[in-house]
Amino acid sequence: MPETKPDFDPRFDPRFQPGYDPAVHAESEHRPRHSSAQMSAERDSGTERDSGAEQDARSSVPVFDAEHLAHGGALDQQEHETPDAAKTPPRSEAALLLRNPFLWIILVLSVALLVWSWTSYESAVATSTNLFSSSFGDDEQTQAEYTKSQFILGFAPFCIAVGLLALSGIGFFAAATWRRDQVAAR
Amino acid sequence: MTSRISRRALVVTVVGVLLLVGGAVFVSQGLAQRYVGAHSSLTVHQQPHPNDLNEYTYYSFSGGNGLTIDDNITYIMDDIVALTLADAEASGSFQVPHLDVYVQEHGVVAVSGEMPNFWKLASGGVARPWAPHAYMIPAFAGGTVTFAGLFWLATRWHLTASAHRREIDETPL
Repeated sequence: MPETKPDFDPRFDPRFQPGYDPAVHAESEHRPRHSSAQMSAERDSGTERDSGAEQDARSSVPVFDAEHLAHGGALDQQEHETPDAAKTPPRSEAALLLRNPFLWIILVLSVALLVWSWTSYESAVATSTNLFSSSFGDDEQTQAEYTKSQFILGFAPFCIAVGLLALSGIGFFAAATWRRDQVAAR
Repeated sequence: MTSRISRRALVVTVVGVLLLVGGAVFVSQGLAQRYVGAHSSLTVHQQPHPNDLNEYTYYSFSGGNGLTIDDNITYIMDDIVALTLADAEASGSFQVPHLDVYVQEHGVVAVSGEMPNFWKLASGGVARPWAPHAYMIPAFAGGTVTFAGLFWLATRWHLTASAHRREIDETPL
C-alpha cells in the first residue's frame, strides 16, 4: 500500500493537523527542531518545494514546535533574551546624578539664595542705618527703601539657612547615590 | 514606562512656590502698611498736655541755643516715627499704636499712649540681634516646601532613570 501523505500546512506542526497518523508520520515527529533558523534551513534544503514563489512564502513564515511555544520554551527564552542583548548598557549612578535636571535646579537656587542673602544683607543694614539715622520722609522712595531693607533684614538669615540646608541635601543625595552604586557593584 | 516626573511632587513644588510668593507679598505689604501707619499715627497738638496724661518728655530746647520748636518739630516727629517703627519691628507687628504728641511753647514734647521703647534707638534701630517673627513663617514654610518638592522630583527622576525596564509603583516616595 502506497504511503499517502496528506498536504500538511508547513506553517504548523503536522501532529496537530488533520490526517496525521503517528504510525505513518512518526519519523517526522521525532525529528529534532531546535530553532526556527534550523527549521528554515531544513525547509530550504527540502526537495518537496514546488515552486520558488511558494518557497519564499513559506520561508518568510517561522515554524515552531509546540514545546517551543510553551512557557519557558526556546521561543520564550529568545523573546526575553533579545531585548537584553539589544539594550544599551545602563548608565552609572554618578552619570545619572550629573544628568538630573532637578538637582541642577536645586544647586543653582541654593547658591543664588546664599549669594543674594549675603550681599543684600550688608546693603540692607547700610540702608536701614541711613534711614534710622536721618530724617524719615513720608515719600514713596523712602517707603520703598524701608520696606526692602526690612524685608531683607528679616528674611536673609532664613534664606541662608534654607540655602545651606539645600546644599547639604545635595551632598546627602550624592552620598546616597554613591552608596547605592557601591552596593550594586558588589 | 513610569514617568520620570511625579505629579504629586510637582503639586507639592507648586504649592511651595505659591506659599513662598504669597508669604513674601504679605510681608511686603505689611511692612509698607507699618511705614504708612507710623506716619499717620502721630497727632500733634500745639498745646499743653492734659494733666492726667502719663507724659513723657522727649526733647527739651530750653538751653537757649537758639533752636525753637517750630524749626525742629519735623525732625522730632521723624525721630518719633523711627522709634515707633523700630518698636513695631522689635515686637513683630505691622500695626503701629496711635500717639498724641503735645508740643509746648518752651520746647517740651509729651507723648500719650503706650510709650515706644525710646532707649532702643540709642544703639541704633538695626543694631538689635535678628529675631524671627510669626509673619515670616508662611514664606519660610513655602521655601522649605519648594525645596522638598524639588528633592522629591530629583529622587523620582533618578530612581526612574536608573531602573532600566523596571516599573516603579505609583506610591509616593
